[in-house]
Amino acid sequence: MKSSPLYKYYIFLFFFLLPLELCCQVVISGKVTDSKARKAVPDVNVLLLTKDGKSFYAYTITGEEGRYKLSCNAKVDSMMLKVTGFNIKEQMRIIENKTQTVDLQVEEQVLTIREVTVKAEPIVRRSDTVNYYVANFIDSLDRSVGDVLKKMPGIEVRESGEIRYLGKSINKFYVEGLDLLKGRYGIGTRNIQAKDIATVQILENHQPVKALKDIDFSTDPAINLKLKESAKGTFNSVVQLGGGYKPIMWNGEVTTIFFGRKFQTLNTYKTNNTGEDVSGELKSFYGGLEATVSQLGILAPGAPAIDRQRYLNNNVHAVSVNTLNVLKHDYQLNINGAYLHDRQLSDASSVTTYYIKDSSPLVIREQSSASRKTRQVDLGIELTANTEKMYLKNNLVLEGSRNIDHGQILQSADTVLQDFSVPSAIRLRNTFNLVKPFSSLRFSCSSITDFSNSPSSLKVTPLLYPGIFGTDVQTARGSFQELDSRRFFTNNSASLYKKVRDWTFSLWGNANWQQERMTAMLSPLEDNTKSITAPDSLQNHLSWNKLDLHLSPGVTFRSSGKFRWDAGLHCSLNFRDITLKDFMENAVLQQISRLYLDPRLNVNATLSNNLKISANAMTSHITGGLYEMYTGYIMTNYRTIQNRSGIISESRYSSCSVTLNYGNAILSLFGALDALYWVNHSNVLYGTEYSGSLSQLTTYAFDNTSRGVRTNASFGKRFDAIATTVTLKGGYNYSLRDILRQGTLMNTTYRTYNAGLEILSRIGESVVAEYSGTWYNSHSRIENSSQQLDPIQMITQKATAKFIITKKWSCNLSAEHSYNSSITSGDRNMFFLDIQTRYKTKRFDYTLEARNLLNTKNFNTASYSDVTAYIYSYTLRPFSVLLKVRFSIR
Amino acid sequence: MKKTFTIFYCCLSAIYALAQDPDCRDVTQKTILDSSFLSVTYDFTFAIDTLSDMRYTDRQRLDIGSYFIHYFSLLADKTDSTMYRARISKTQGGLNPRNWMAANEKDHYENYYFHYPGKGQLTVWTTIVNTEYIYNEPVPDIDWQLNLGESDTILSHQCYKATACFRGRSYEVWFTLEIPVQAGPWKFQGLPGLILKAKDNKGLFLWRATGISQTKNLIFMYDTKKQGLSGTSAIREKIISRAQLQKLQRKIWDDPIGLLEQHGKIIAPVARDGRTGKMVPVTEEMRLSFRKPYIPPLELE
Repeated sequence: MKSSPLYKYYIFLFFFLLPLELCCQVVISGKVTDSKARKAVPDVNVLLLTKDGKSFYAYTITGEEGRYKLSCNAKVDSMMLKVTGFNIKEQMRIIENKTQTVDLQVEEQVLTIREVTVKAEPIVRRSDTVNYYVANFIDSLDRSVGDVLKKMPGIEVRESGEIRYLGKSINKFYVEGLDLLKGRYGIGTRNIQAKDIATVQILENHQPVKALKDIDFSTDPAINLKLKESAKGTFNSVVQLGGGYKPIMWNGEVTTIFFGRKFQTLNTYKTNNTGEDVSGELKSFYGGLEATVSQLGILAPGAPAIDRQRYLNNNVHAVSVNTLNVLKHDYQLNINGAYLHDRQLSDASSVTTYYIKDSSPLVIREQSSASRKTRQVDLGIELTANTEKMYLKNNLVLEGSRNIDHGQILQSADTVLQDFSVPSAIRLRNTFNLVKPFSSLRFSCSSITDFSNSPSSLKVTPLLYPGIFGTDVQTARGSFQELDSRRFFTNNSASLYKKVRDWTFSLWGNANWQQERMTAMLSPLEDNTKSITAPDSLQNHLSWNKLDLHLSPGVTFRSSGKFRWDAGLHCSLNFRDITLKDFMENAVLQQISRLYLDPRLNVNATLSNNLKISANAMTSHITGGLYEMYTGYIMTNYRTIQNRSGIISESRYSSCSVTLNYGNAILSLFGALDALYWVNHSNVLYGTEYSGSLSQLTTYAFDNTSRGVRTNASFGKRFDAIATTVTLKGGYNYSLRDILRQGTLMNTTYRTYNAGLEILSRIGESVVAEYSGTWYNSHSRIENSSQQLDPIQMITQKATAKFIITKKWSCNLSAEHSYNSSITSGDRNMFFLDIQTRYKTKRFDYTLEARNLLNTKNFNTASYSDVTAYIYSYTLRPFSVLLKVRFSIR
Repeated sequence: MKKTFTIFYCCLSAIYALAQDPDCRDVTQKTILDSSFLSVTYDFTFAIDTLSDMRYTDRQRLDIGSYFIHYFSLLADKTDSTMYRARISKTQGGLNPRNWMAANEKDHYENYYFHYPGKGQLTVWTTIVNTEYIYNEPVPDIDWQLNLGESDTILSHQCYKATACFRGRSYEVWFTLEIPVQAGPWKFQGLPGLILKAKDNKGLFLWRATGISQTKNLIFMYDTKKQGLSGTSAIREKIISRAQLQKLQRKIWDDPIGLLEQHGKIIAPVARDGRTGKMVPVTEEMRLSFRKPYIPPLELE
């Protein structure tokens, strides 16, 4: 029995020794070298795998000498030895399962792998595009896309709706890559709903013309809104209703929006009598058609330099329609239309003083009230093709307007009634643009054709100055001025740009042909119409032609070395031919042909990391238009008749300026300094003669020179510790001119000084305070005269505080002060106080405004223009309260 | 009944200190060490509380260059850029440079440099409050056990599984032989292929690759002696050992007030008593009431 443990012992030994017999540790070692240079290859993987290569036993990494050592205990006949590394070609060899040395030679090879990306980050930057995912910024109180844009770092949204990125204005506002609103994108910022936007893309350095993509580099940003799927192809409406008192006020707004894949539209209807200028929203941020200014008009003091809502007594209705259609082959059709109907009332009293050398000044006191009615329609159609090979745009705009102004003036004992009317003015303009690049050469051309017709008339009763008419006109009730103006021009230009290393050569050619026709007649107002024809001196039948040919070569050099600077020189060779004809008599009154050379030089340099300097010098020749040379008298307002000597006015304007810009991010200090010197040589002088209160303005052939200096400085510093920015400004302006008054030549100087201070501060998380103050001093002097004019001093100050009381409730308080030293009757100091509070609920936005809490009745101001002083008092809107509610339908 | 307090102190960045986010670094102090030939982005999902299911995500990137390998947080880098841009564009004060992050995103101010300053060495930079703590150790030699026969496809690459115990935690990783670099997220490396996924066995930490690209990226390191944008409080450098850093990191949840005092962010702690409204000096009891729940660290040893 004692022998059984011995069996177990042997069995145990057998099993113990069995593994040693059946399995042995195999060691594979060796050296890995480069097949070409025979150098050792460190840091590559050496793997020992199963023969089919599907799974492995061991692995290691070669050392500094290229050596490796692997061991394994596999029960197989053969295995696979594999070498892998990032820039070597993979190598494998089948080896026997026994201890051995295997040296391997590897070849260099660049490994390409499949690139994969899966997720996106909240702010992702892809080359020049920054994507902001709206979901990360929006909260339940954000209504319009403008509310969310304000929160995104780097984006600033102004009151007007203008958007800036890192301080620069955007040059395009796209929705899903399409530009529906063009320059009027303020409508979009305020009305597109934030909850419909998925991503806001900022396109840095955006060049909207694809054909110029790699040629003309832009440093301007653009914005593109990408919609959520649920918002595409659905209609959305935003409505605002408001009412208030003193006087009974209303303020309403409806906006409808639709964004589809191939069609987009945004339409608004606005109406109010609260002094809100809705035409501003119809204004383009990129620049639009210049307003045509009429020669005639009722006489009323100009708008005071304060916030429009304080004085504008309006009654306005405005409609804006904008549609965009995407057509085939990269073509796009935009149709934009607007209609405006407005009636504005104003009330003011004024004292105008005309200073005459060595003579007592002429003082005119007036009390005026005016009503202006405007009706305006415009329609624009634009076809654009924007591809990389070509950029083509054709824009056709039709504008029609009707203005009727009534004015009533109390002067001395007379009550003067004025009726100004433009019954129907129309304007048609077609603009064509083409840009086509050819490798390093770029060609672009444009053609503008414009036609406008504007008949107007001014009726004044009673007849204040019978002397004008000469003949016996005792039965006349007043004077009647008719003025019909028609204009046609076609302006065509083409340019070529070629870039050769650091130089850019350009050639610009332009041919501009303009024809204008003016028929004017000043006649007495009789009961039986037109029984007395006006004398020739009060009539104009003029046709004016101008042919302008320009050829302007230019060269720009941009240094690419360490010291960065660039300079450009452009010379414009200009052939100009002007003819003034009387088309009734068919006689040529004036004709000139000139050849001008207008050079322009500019240099910019970066003196250091913080300091930039630029300098400009230019000369240009300006010739007068039709309204600078008509011969018959025109009554431009009830107490002014004007004519010109018929001489074509020619002037040569030259200027040189220097600007310095300093920006030191380390000290948070910024500053700018600029100075300009200008000289103007002219061959005509304007002169005024007074007979009582009637001024007769005419021009005289008289060579004269005027010159001036203008300089401005501003410095700003940001104090991070107290979250405050302080800006200091100052300026000086000096000009010397000749003026003719009552036949006397007066040499006058005009000087102004101004200084300003601005403080913007953020106090804690919920208070933003702003203060700005400006001091202004202007002084006119008549040289060598016994009379001296008093300088005018003005101080304006404004302080606002914004309180964010809770997330739903905010409050704004603003106070203004204005002081003018020249006010003699009435307050020199004027104060204004406004308060506004806003409350947001899930669906509604409530705003309560109380304006002019101190019930300041008039705005008194005084100003100079050469040697004429104006003092006036403008009637303001009284204390009022307005409640507005805003909500969306969808 | 818990008293509520607010602590007043003299410090430069009021908003961030209590929230325990470290100060932003100055991007103008970046120096370039190398450029990468391969970049892999990862989503690092982690827990800051062992009891709740709440997980935060950091977006991190692995830049593999010819000399060095850099692993860092993209969210932290973006936070630094946002702060820099706000400074140079004079955006109004009070800017939170993290306000663009989603609610479940959190950055890690940690930078890992493999083979720096020399081959086989690992340098780690960690920002705590306003100081960069730097420690150096040999590249960890992780004892990987390969699981033959288990394979999976991640990001269209065939991956194999490997497991290891590393400094107190057990991990499971997936690596691909198709990309033969010995690298991976965090301190994981030493396998014959790129690690595309890693997780611990307790479900607290998860690294997942979200993108692989061969775009050249710059491997940068902050040089605190370089002239930067002033107006930003200068970040200091301090060289310590890994054990000392672990002690400091523990203070983030264990003694946050002490940590701020140590870094000069608080000079004289006083608190407003929520009931009486009076200012009283901070007591031990108050200090303890500011403690946060246990934040599990990656390395337990």
